[in-house]
Amino acid sequence: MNEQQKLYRRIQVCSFVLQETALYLDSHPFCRQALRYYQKHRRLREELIEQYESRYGQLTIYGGGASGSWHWVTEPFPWEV
Amino acid sequence: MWIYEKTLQYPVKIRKPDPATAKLIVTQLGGPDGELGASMRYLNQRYSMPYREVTGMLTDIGTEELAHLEMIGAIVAQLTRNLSIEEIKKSGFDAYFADHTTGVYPVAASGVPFDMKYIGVKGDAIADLNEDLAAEQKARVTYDNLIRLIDDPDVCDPIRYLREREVVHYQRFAEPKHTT
Amino acid sequence: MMDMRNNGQGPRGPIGSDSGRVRRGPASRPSMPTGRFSLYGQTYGPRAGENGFGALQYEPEDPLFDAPLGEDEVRDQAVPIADPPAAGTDPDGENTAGTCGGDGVLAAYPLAMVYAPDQAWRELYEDEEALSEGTLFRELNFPFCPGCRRSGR
Repeated sequence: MNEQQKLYRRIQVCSFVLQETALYLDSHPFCRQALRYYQKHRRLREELIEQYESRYGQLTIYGGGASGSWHWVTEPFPWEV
Repeated sequence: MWIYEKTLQYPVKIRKPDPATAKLIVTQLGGPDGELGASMRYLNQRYSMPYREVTGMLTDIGTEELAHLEMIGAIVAQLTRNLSIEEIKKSGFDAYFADHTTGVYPVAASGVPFDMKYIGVKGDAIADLNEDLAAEQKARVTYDNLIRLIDDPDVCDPIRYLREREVVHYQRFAEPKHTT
Repeated sequence: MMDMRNNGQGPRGPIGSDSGRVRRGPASRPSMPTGRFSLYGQTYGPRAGENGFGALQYEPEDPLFDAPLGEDEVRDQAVPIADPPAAGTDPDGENTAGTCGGDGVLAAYPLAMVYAPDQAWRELYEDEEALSEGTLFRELNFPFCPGCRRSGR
């Protein structure tokens, strides 16, 4: 895996953990442990997204404009082999 | 509203195209117990749900199902790339190809197009949650069947992941309780 | 699950989807699936001749319960049919609480409602493993049983 793929993987992993925690919090909205765990991973994900978007292009339409072009359509979509 | 993130929730990397497998996998896109039905069911049940915890759950799981239908679309697209006409004919993919070429069109394994009649939105908290529990089990069974039928590990890997998500969703739908 | 009676202030508790060894009466809670199936490494479902209520294996207390239909003679010999007790009386104690059915653990909970165990926040996988497994929670990980290749096993 190259550096971009490794960072992408870390984002997938962190996003998934957040998704699972969010679902748990939906039925346990006052669980402190889950909330702490969520906050830790949320901060991590924000850093990872910022790193990725600054180097390799935007991941959402709100993350663009860093460089001179609209990476949204110049970079591959995730199902492309 | 929805924001699209340019990632797949779980990696899909199919090395070997196989249109016969694609005909089966597509059922989790357009079939009676597939991800399109699941997302429509949960996202539409939200509006009449009197408990915010459940509305939140339906929003989050419904959104996750959209991510899953993208994974299924990715699997089908990768399985149907670079096909020769001979492969298309031999695999029985020719009928689908005639109408859709290698586009990803939501149908069941039988070829029946997706129908909103597959889903239930009853506007009642108990009925809707029971519908959701049943839906998750039916989806899980469909994934069981796909695992039984398909040998390619590149395909089985994301399918196993999606199956486990159904198990987790079942627990999530079974848990909600009213807190006042 | 919520109990919509009592203004939604329902209790929650263990669901009846246990390993299938609970004794219950016939026509038990129809939230269980019918037919044989494999799930989470175990096999559930009725065997031939049983009623179709899924994992619940009925163990009759009344030896006449599973007498085949048509053998009226056998039934009549064993249980004389008596007149019902007069209103307000219960001479044989048939209407008092006995030992048939009734789930000890869930006894306080209303009928006609589905309950599930509440999941605790514990036994988390490491992040990378969580994505591979498809869940963050070890207790929710129920992989497809590799030996169960055919339906009904």
